[in-house]
Amino acid sequence: MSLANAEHRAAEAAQAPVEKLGQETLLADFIGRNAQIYLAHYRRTGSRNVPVTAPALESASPAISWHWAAFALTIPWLFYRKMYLGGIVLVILPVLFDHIVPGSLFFGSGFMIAVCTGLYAKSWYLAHALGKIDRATERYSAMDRRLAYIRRAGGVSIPGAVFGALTQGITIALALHDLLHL
Amino acid sequence: MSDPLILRLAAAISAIAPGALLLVYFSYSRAWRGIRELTWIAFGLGFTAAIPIAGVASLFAPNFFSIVDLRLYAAGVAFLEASLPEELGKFLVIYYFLMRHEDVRRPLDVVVLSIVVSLGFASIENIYYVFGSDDWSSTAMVRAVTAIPMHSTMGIIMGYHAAQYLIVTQSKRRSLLLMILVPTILHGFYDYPVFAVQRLYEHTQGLPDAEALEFQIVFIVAIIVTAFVAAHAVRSLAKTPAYLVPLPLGDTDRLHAHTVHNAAASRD
Repeated sequence: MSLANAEHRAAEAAQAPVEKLGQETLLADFIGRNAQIYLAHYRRTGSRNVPVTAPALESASPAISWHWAAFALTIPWLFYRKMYLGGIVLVILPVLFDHIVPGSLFFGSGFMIAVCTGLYAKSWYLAHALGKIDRATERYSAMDRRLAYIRRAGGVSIPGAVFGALTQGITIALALHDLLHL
Repeated sequence: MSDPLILRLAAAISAIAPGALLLVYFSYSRAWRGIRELTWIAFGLGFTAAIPIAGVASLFAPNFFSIVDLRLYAAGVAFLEASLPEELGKFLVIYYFLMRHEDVRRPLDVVVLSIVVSLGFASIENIYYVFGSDDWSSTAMVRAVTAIPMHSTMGIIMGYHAAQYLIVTQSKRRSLLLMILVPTILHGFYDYPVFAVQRLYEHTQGLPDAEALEFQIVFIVAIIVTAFVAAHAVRSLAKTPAYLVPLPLGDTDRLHAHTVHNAAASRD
């Protein structure tokens, strides 16, 4: 796309009233950094009751799409993307299970969680984002307040990534320590 | 603990139950309907926060077991190994994840979330103590009436200062400092006699009368002072209408410009 064309579109968008902004724009606003990756998945697969007009939908692929960061850095990625509930569940369940059945974290559950997150990360994140957009729509009739809510709910969290990395690293270290002393 | 699976499950349930019951109360109370989902997240964050705290504290904490002096040992363990990392962990969770959360609409919400974070933390601590005890059922019962109320009270005090931080326009740093400092000191004074008595039992298989009286006095004074500080916080929260005033969501003009820019980008 040429620079002149991009500038023309930007100027056109700047003149558009906020009320006319579409779902994709709100999604882009929610996602923030690296929005194109998730928007491409959204265009390819559509989501819930949102009509997707892109021609690519005719050959829609399943909601599975590999995400390396989510696979390799499962817990930090979830907290980085502010999916706290998912992050908490994926930390607590294997740890509790490992307490009840010692060694289970290394014999399957940790790796299975990483693979599932790698496969479904984009879909989970889009569902999370659309849920927040729905909530903003339900709660606030004024568009500026709706946008403020979406903007605050979305984006990324560096403290979240640090918290997730520490949690995952220490969990693995403790589980490995227990495994070696079984 | 090397009991069969069913006993391990029973121990896990007895460790989590006191905190979980209070969580259910908060999340289904009509007064906190707006933050129902967030109370579960706060509990989970408190629960999860114990993992990095334990890891980082074990890396940096000095070895207090080599200290011979009883009081120095107890103070070191109580303040530097127990209360500071625990309260710091709760503080970071509340400050970075909850005070900025989009569903927090009133300063009073932060107080409830702070209590719930403390309950989550107390629950995983309970699991650790219950699983590490030979008499797990007694440990679970004793901790349900001591550790859980103590952590909840620290949650009230921390939440009160967090709410103060949200409503004051000046001396915000002071509120932040009090948010971490007051619970750390009170928690430390609560733990100090506990660790001292524990060590005396380990070394002398009994408690000399003079020391017993000293540590009992410290423990009772710590509880009275904590109760007084928490009661003051609750009274102040109940009296001040500013804690119920909705918080601003953000700078809406700047957001509008940002969104319009994103609209252009997403069409490309």
